[in-house]
Amino acid sequence: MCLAIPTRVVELLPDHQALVDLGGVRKAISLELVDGVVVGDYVILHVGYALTRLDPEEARQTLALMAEAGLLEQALGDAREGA
Amino acid sequence: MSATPRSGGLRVCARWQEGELDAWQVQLVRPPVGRALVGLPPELALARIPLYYSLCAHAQQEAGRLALLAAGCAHGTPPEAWRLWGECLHEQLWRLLLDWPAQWGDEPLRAPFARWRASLGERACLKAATRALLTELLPDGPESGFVARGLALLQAEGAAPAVGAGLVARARGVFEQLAALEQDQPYPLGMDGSPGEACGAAWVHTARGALRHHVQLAQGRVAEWRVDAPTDRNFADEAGIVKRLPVWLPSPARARQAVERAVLLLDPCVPFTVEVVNA
Repeated sequence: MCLAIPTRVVELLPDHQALVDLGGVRKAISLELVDGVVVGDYVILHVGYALTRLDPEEARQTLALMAEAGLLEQALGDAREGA
Repeated sequence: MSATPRSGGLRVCARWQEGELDAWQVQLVRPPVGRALVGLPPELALARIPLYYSLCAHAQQEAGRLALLAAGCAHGTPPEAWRLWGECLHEQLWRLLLDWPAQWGDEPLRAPFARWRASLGERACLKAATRALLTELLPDGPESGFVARGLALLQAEGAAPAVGAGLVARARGVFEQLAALEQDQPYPLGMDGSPGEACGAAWVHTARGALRHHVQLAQGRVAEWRVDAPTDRNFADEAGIVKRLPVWLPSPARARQAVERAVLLLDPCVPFTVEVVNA
């Protein structure tokens, strides 16, 4: 299982796609498996698909916990290296 | 060569030479969640587990809860069995509907899978939606519908027998899990521990095999928490992949395709990449 990092949706694209922002890195993902996502929502990703929609407050709390546990820094580092 | 993400990923590399593969590298990285739980009070650690994992959150939390219970520390409540069966079906159907069709050149069956996912929150809906999905896509059983088409195409191109067998096994697994769900069968799990020594272990069935948690407590806090997932065991080295390859790999491209299918059969719970270089 991958780390369930809440990732912010910054733009909706045609064909059920969206742009997300992960620590300053933007990538296109599929919204085909989750309904009702709007710009500003957070989603949990798995292999390029949004799996779950989170409200911003829930996402902020999870991100804070991950940061406190030292899990977030590694993942964001990966995203930046891969950009 | 591409790097493996530290948030979770699998990278498989091999060298093709005269119809065979050697110089294997299998690099699996999973997030160090167990380490992140060390030092926390047990109830807090248990609450954080489902937040950290993108897949199988119910199974992860239940394995953690049972391991703590085996260590003499009772926290949390067990999930209803149907939620665990639903999670298991989710993983099986993801592979079957999204990943396998691409192996014979078809589009992923995203729309029916998305419709089915919408039923995950309620037991009666989940049962009805799973039955409807299978009636639509596999009307005459595990080897019918789109699976029958896939089997015919894979056989025509000379895919390894293990590939077709693995595809059928996955489709059968979905029918078996639906039967378990419809009959409200107890979910397979177990635990063992030494409360006097504050250590416990537990396993919970998942789509990929047994998920195990091992916990050691000290002075009311987590001293050690190990998560042993099926993916860790299946990709400890290349042995499982090699066993699922055809005897002869005529080109690097065919070898790459065969390795990718072998990885799919072993079903990692993280994204994967396959690289085959020509010697």
